[in-house]
Amino acid sequence: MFKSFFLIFLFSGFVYPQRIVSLLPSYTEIIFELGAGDKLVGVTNFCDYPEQAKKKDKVGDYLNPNIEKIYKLKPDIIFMGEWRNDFIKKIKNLKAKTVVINQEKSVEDIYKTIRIISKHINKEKEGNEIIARMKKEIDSSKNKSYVKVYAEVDKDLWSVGSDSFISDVISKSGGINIFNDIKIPYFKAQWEEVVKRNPDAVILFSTGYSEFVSRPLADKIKAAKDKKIYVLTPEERNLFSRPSPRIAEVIKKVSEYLSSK
Amino acid sequence: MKKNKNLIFYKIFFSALLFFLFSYFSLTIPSDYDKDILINLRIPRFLTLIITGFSLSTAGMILQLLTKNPLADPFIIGTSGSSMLAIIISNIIGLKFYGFEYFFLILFFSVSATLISYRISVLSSSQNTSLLLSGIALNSFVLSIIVLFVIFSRDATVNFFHLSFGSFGYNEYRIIGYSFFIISILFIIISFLIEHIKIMAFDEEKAETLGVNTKRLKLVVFIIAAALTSVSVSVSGIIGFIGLMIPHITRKLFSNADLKILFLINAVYGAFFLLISDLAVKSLFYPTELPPGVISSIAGSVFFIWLVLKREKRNE
Repeated sequence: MFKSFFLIFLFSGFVYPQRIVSLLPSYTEIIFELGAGDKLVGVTNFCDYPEQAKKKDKVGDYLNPNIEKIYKLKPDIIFMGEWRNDFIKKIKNLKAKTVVINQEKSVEDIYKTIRIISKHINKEKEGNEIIARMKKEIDSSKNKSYVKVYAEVDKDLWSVGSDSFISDVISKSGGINIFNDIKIPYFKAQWEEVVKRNPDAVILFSTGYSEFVSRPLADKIKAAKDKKIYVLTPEERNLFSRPSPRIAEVIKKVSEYLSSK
Repeated sequence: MKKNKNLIFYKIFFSALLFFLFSYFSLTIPSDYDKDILINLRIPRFLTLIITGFSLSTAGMILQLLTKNPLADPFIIGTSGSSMLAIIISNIIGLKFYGFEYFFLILFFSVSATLISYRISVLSSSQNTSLLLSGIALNSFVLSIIVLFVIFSRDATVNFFHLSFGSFGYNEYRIIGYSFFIISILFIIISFLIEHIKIMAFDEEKAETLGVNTKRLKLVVFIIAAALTSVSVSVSGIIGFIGLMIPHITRKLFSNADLKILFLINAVYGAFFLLISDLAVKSLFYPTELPPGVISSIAGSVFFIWLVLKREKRNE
């Protein structure tokens, strides 16, 4: 009896990872949300949510993780984004199982990410619950205001095309990205074009309010006339650009802002 | 002789025609625009291009004449880079853009960079190469200081980082007016000095026997070149290789022209080149905006290599 229990215990310990390293803040949030936060042994310097994540061992930032540190943590499984090919090769030598997840380009892609992570750490039930909860929240905040939105994600007119996560968050919030016809995720827009497309609302990620309205012809833009310029706080900025389960909150907030008079 | 004059006249006429044509394109492409866009966005941009083209190509030309180095260019010898550093510093210490102190600081930086590069090149036996080498050293020095500023005072610096590859932003008319005023004064000074520059470019020793104070002339011309570069960097950031390419092209096209005329033609061709590259910048990946320095650097670096290879061949 004891023996078989022991075997099952051993077996489960073998199959389901006990030591997890997450190399993106959004994965860290998902793992905590799935209730496996205690098994996380390493996170990135940017993993600041939930509060417990800050206490975990740091393995550098996601652009430049410290391989030795990861090695010392002896992880069973490593979750990482797809976009560092050279790094993936190095990390595959660690003999830990590496799960490479595609970059999220829409809110639906978060569900995929949650499914992948939950499958690998045997929390599929919890994963489905999160997805169902998110879908419900997002559906309940679906106010189709059809407001034209210009999102400036970085200073000097860096904006987003339809192929980006932020653009999808805007459309889920009931707005329309003015650069929806551009098929690249991030690009530097021409100011003249922004003026011409005349957005009804503006979301500024790091540009200041006064900086925006002091541009020539900014006063011609409807958003400036109606004072519908949303300047994100640093926390909101993180939330907005991070494909985590908390995106449902953002969508709710943005859709309320866009549909408010 | 008369035939030559006629030919030059036609060339100038043709260039002017092309210039006006491209000016027209620059103001009307893309075609959906209204009066507001024209007045507040396109005309300031067009004037910024003209200022930048005029000042960079002229700075390049007088530097090349004076140092007798065909590879001299405000970008290559580090004048542009140190002007950008001065702009960042003036922003950090809170000087008013285009105020008096601002000009003093930026002029101080660009003049010292120019003089340092030139001094080092004079000390060495192979002037052509060492001017370039000291330029490389200065440029990387400036770049590392800028990177330091980015790290330690990010917010004050990041706003200017786009200047490193140029940016035809939208300057106020006030700034454009001041810039035109400054470069016209500098052009007038050049027109007074042009005979001296001509003699000196031809033969330095002979110039001295003819009563030209070559040292002082050099200093004045270096300051003018640095000031022209400072104005251009202030309005549109660092755009490399204009001062290298344009004088070579105009000298080739108008080899018989008098230096006085050549100067004006050279200035106009600088603006002309920028108008073309701006059209490319605006329309190639519309509505994405490219930094204009990308176009001029691609063209310029190819030109530069070609120039070096050509000289190598001649030296063999």
